[in-house]
Amino acid sequence: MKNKVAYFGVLLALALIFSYVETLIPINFGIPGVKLGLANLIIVVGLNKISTSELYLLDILRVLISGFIFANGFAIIYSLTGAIISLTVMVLLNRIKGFSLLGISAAGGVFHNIGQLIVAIFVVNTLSISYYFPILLISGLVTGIVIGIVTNEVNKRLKIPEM
Amino acid sequence: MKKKDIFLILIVLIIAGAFLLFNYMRPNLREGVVVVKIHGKVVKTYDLAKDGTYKIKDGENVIQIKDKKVKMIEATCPDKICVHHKAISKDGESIICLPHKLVVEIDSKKKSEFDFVV
Repeated sequence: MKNKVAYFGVLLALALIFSYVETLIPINFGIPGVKLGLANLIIVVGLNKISTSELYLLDILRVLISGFIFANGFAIIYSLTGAIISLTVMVLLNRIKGFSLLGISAAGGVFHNIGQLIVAIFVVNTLSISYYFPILLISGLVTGIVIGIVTNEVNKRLKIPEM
Repeated sequence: MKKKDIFLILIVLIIAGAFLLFNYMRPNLREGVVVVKIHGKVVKTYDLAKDGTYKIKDGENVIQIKDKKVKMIEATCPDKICVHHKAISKDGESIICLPHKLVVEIDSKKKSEFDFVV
């Protein structure tokens, strides 16, 4: 389709804006890695709109750019691992029949946190960090479901063409 | 929401619940040692029964042992997640400061070693 590059740019800009909005929400759960993941909304919305390779490009770019602008460079390793594992799971589930965007997004949220936990285990070089595992599972599930619900509403109201 | 969605959510909840129960069942012996690890290496151990405030790595992190509970009271890291963490006292519980690669852990099994020293 026409204007492919322009649409890609709009989606990337939206993801970055959501990353910024997220930094404005002062929620502290006292647990590392727990946040809403608003930028992930763009990825879930894009799941059926753009090709898989473009999804990966969009995901990696938004993590890198938002990481350099809004966070310290070190946090990028966590976000990138989480984002790639999460996207891979979502792409796979999207190909299996019987899952709605809500379930796909929930799985994405859970695996995003699992990816981050794996990096954290290597960084602090101890397994005791797995104490956070159940909390991260539940928080990923909840935020994933929220993102899934919002995605359904966005898709109803906003006509984003398939590319 | 479809059948498989609910199935997936239930599986995650069951796994999380099982781990939560496991963490909850940890014995709260309120004894043992406080182990401080940096990048997986033990750098210091303190007696959980002894109250005190200790600086780790020239004050990058400061822990406080009080009433057989450990709390991180100061840290120079940007996010301060470790400072907001609740005080720990159960065997295997930990406070983690990711930016400093630091883990404060409770080990209730190592109590006897201290008795020998005393």
